[in-house]
Amino acid sequence: MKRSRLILLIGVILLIVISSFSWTWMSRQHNNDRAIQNARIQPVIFIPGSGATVNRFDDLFTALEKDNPRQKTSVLKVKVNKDNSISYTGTLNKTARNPYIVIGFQDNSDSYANIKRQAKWLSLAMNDLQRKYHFRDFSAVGHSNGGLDWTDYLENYYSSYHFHMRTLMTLGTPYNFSESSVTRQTNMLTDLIDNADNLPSDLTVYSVAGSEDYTDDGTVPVQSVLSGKYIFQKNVKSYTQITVSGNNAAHSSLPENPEVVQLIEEYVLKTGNNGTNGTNRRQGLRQASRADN
Amino acid sequence: MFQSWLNKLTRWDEKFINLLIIEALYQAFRVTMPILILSVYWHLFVQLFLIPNSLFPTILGYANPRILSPQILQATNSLADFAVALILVIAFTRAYLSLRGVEDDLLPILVNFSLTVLNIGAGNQVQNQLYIQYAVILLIALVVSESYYWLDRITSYRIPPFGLTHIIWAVLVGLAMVYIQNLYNSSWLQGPFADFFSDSIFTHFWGLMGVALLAPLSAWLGWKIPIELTQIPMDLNPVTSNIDAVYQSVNATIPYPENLYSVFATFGFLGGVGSTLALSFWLLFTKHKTGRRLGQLAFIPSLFDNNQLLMFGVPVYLRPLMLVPLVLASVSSSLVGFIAIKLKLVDPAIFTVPTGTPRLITGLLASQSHWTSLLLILVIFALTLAIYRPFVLALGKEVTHEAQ
Repeated sequence: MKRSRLILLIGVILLIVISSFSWTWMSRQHNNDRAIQNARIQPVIFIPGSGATVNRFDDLFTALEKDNPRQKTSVLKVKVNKDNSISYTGTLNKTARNPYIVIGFQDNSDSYANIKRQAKWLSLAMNDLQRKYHFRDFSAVGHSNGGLDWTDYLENYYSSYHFHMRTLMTLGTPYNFSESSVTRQTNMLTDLIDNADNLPSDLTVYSVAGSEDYTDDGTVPVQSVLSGKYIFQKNVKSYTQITVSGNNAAHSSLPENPEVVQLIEEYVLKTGNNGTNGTNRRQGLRQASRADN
Repeated sequence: MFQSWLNKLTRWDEKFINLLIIEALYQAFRVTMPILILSVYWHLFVQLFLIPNSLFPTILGYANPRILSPQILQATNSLADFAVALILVIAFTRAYLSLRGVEDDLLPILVNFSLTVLNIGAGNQVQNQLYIQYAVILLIALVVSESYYWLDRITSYRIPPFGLTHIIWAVLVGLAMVYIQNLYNSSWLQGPFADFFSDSIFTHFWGLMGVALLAPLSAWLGWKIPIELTQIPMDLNPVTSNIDAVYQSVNATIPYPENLYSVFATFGFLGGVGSTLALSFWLLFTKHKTGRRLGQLAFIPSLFDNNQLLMFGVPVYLRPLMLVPLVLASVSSSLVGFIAIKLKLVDPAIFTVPTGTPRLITGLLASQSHWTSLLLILVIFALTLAIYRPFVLALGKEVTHEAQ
């Protein structure tokens, strides 16, 4: 009986401890959830390719503003440093429906190992941004290896309970690095295909390839960009492959290419205004529970 | 009148547990207990401390230590479940054939072992858990053992254990059972059932009472109940609609105040299906040493709503004496909860609680009427204590009879 009483006492103490700490956790969580739930902003988040800085998309933003002068957009630039610290420049205009955010990395070298590190840094930045600005819905654009960062992030860090990525547009993203033949899969492509089950099933993906001379955009082979279909097709809601050609289709010019600007306006910005947070949350919850499988 | 009915039930229960099949089954449960204890405590430890969103790191705000990767944790959990199922089947086959007078039981044990491995291996994994239906694997083991017994009896025990006739029997019975397994191993039977339980019927009285009645009945039969009923069902549409409404406005009208979360999960599942926390509480203070030891082992897991040790240890499975309180406690707790929400005495549980939170405090945390909800849960717990009390006493009397 003595031992029984002791076990009962332990049980009661456990309940009290759990209750009091859970109480604090719940109130913190509620405030955050409520703010996210009621958030009106749906940012578009850009990631530049290797070697580029957070200023990489400045020309693109100018072009976007020129096309739509009534919508003054603000740009928040976020840099994740090697020591996991995050520095912010610019401001996020919270009155804008789709404010722009650029996330760049201090270590912007070009390797698979660094893409994996960048995906982790991206996750840190996303969580920090959500804590600061309480958004849930967003769209994403990745230029070159920036598209690989998004893909790795979606497969390994993204939680559909906390976020809802509506549209992903990748510009000249080399899913098979510099390999021009899909029969020679790089380790990265193999990994991305293996983990493709984790991609959110309600995501719309556009992969834009540049073609200067039918084979590449001057840097990335078209076949490498097209390899994205092995990752996204049948794993996301829709996957569309678009090829832009001509003089402005060089790899580094893609973000400023007028056709690309038009594609971003049409597929990323216009579609970003649909839907309600409530519906998204329901879809997100359902996916989160399945993703836990 | 109740006492005479209970005495009648106890006598019937005593007769029932002396049936050959039930005796073999309960012997097998006793053999399985040590591995089950390890399995239950390991699951509990993982749930409270190790998985990515485990209870203590979440509420205490420290980073999960990530000693083992989620995949390895999942594998160890599955391994523990697998070991329990295999030992149970082996012990049952051995006990049943021994009671039947069969001496050489190696071949049927091998057949049942292989069939269980195939059965579990072929099943779906539902939300990271192996899908193990004790009712099915034990039924298959029974058919295999019984057919082996009759084969030996017809041939007057003249076939050598691994003789040709036995081998042909093993192949035929194995194929037949695999065929039956394929019929039942379909995903519509195994879940997930989130869409099914999102139906509006489960926001109404009869739907909720149906769940409160059928869930303990199905568990009593050894049929695994869907994960949507054992865990807090946050992904059901009525539940998410309620959260959406409250987050839009604190004073919003809750669209579905009575649902599986606010009624069954909050009030009708204290300690696991059948509200068995009360049973483990009484066992803590029973006069019988074995019962008390079981209570001591089962109480903490029961606080976290895992009643497997009680199901095997009492045992609760297929026990006529236990069916009545199991169903009564589940239905009456859900009924009281339902009425209290309907009469607006308490606000329904709406918010997400940390994974693994004991149901005893779910109302306190997840409802907007924190303290009233806690009070109601304590009243319901007292009610389940009253329901289980006479049956635990009757159980004690049976043990005394057996000892005499």
